[in-house]
Amino acid sequence: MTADPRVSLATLNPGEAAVVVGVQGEGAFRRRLLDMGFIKGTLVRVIKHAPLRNPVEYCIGGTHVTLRLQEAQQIIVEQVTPPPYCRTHDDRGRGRRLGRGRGRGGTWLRRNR
Amino acid sequence: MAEKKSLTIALAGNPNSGKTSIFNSMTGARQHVGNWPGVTVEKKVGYISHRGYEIEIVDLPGTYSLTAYSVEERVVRSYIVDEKPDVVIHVVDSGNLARNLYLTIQLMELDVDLVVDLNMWDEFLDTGAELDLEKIHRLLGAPVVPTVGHRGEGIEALLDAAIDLVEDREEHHRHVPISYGPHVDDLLVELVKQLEDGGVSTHGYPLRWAAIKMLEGDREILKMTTSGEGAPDDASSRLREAAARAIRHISVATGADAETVISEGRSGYVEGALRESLTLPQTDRMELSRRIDNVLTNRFLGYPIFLALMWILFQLTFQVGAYPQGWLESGVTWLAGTLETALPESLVSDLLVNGVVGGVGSVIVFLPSILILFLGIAFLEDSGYMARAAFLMDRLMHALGLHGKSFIPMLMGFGCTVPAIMATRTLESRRDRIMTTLILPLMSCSARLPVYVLVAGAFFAERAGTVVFLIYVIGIVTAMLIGRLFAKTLFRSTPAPFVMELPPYRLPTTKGVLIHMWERGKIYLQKMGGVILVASIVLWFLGAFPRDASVIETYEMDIAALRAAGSVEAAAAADVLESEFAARLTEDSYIGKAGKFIYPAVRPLGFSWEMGVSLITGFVAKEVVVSTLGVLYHTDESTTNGEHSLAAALKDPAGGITPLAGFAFMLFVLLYTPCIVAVIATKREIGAKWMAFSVGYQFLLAWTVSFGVYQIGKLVGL
Ligand SMILES: Nc1nc2c(ncn2[C@@H]2O[C@H](COP(=O)(O)OP(=O)(O)OP(=O)(O)O)[C@@H](O)[C@H]2O)c(=O)[nH]1
Ligand SMILES: [Mg+2]
Repeated sequence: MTADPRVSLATLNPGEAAVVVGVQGEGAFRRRLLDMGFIKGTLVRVIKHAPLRNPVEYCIGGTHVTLRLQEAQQIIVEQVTPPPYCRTHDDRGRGRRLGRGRGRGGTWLRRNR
Repeated sequence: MAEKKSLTIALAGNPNSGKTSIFNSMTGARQHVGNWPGVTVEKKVGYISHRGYEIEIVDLPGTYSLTAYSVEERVVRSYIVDEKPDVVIHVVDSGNLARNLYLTIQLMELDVDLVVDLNMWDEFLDTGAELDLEKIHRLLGAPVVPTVGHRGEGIEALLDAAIDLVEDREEHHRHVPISYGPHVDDLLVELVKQLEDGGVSTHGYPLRWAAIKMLEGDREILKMTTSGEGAPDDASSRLREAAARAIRHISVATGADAETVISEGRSGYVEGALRESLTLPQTDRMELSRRIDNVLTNRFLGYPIFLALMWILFQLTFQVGAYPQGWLESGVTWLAGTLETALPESLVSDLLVNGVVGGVGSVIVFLPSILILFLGIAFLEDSGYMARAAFLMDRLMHALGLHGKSFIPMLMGFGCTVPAIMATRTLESRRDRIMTTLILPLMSCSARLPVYVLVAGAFFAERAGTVVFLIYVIGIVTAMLIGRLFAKTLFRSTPAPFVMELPPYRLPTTKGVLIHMWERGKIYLQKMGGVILVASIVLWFLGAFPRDASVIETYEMDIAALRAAGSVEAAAAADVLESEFAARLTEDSYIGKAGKFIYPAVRPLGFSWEMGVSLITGFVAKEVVVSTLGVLYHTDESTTNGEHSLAAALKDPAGGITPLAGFAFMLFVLLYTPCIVAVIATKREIGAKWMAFSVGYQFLLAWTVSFGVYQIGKLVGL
């Protein structure tokens, strides 16, 4: 059942979090992503999609950055439990305990089974 | 040594980290700050004196890195290397130390004397985070100073630290070479040695830095070191090989490419330093912003709120702006009237009244509206909402082959195209800048409004408002279609990615917003003082000359004779003769000749020759279209119902036009070549070739559309 845990950042749903494994592609844009902090080991959290689904707002290193899904596709991540910071709408009232559920992670699980 | 010592300090740092705020606090200058990454696009210079030093402060554009990929980054690094500032102050957003210090490392590698300014310290403390200043100072090997840029706190200490550094009183000061791991370090040593042995010139860049850049595949540095220009031929080819070998070597040894390995090395170093010195925040500083965004970028509310804000902005601009505009209009009329009565009738008074006051006055009346629009935009930018607007609009703009950030220049385009073109600089890719600049003029600027008001008022009476609105919509729709067309044909390269930071919401300061507004409003005023003034005078000249003395004499004598006769019929005949005289003068003038010459080109559109001329003079500034029509149709502008008589003249079956042609005329004014000042700005921003294209395509577009509308309309019997 456990396939490759590495997925692209674009497959994550709002509320979910992941750790960067690497950035694919080359050239200026890849470099920009590296410089913006999408470096191996960094935690990213999906905050929300724009109303028309694209672009997406991410929280990385305490700042919020927007990317289009096509671009998030280049970022390879490994999903983790959302941290207490970079909180999203879904966390309201849930306190700041670690290890809370995956937000709308249910769909993620289903899709990746 | 009584003479003052001089010093140059440069401010570098991430976009939106507060460099310009620090700059303004230091120099008391009024540069434009904004809660919007990429506000400063050119370096700005200010002067102060501190502790006996004459200090030149340079505000640099914001950058995340120092690659050769973007203009700003190249500007910053070549400035630092070529101009060699005595001290570089790295302005850091303390709320995101990891990413900011990543740039610190790169600055240190450039071998500059560095002071790290921990800006936004207020926000940092608010989140409950703690930083061991002594430790981070030691780890970075550079003095650190907390500041609050927009309130001017810590500025003295910052300047002191910079001067201490220069006077070498700084204790921890040293250049810490960052280790990228034994593998990479060895390769770097080897490359540096080759650079030295080969006698390669790196144009002032430190050798180790150049070696790192070669491993990162930096094109500019590779070209510099291996093109044979900086080095003897065999050395350069050996270098090229050595670099390629090193890059291969790294990827084999680490399983990742060299660029990634080096990025990770830097961020690893920063992480290590922060692990020792930083206590993580208790709260998230984006917490409040996220709550606000739950409403403002909400899936359902996002667009309605956005539209409502835009609606309010336009209401303020055009409805509220109409009041001061009315006052200015009466002021201009009063001035013209006073001058006319005060001065004896002569060519000079005519030049002053109709040329200078009439020409400049017709433009200045738009200033209030434009300032209100820019004030609103400044407020939205400084609060942080504009970044959200770009976030909301990106999907739609992307469909047109544009970028979410293109939205702001296009919004400004409704005020004045010129500052809007300047605002395209916040776009990162040249492709996006060119495309946005090309379709920007289709956003109907405020100078075009009086033409619509005149023509729509003349032909569509009570439906005038709707017709004018329709023209604006046609402009937007055309921009969308043209955008798509260009994206499919001329600019097929992939549009720039949308990586944009969403800054925290901040309460705009009054000073900040006003400076911001003024910076752009100034561009508009400069256009008026310069080009429009000159153009008005030239236009007046072209309309008043050549004067055939014999013709004038004959007319004047005939009129005088009729007037002397005293009978009612004679007086009436004199009136007729007088208007005939005026018409004759205009027709004989250079403008009249030009009008006759181009008439064949505008006749298929249903325009009169006077309208053709006004389109030419409108190239100076679109509002001149109205004043030219006023002159050509001999309607006395200085009377209160001057506009009325002009409208009547347009409708007059004798020399006038049909409503259909009037509509085609409005379309033409909307679509054709922007004014000369905008064309100049276009050239400066995207080059002569694209400027020529812009002028050409818009002229063609305007002519074709007007032709189509008029001819088809005539066919269906409108
Ligand atoms: N809370 C807080 N806000 C600050 C501070 N310094 C600057 N700001 C705000 O941060 C925003 C960005 O400031 P700027 O000075 O325009 O930033 P910049 O680094 O020049 O930005 P670019 O020119 O885009 O690179 C503005 O809204 C400032 O009012 C600070 O110390 N604390
Ligand atoms: Mg700035």
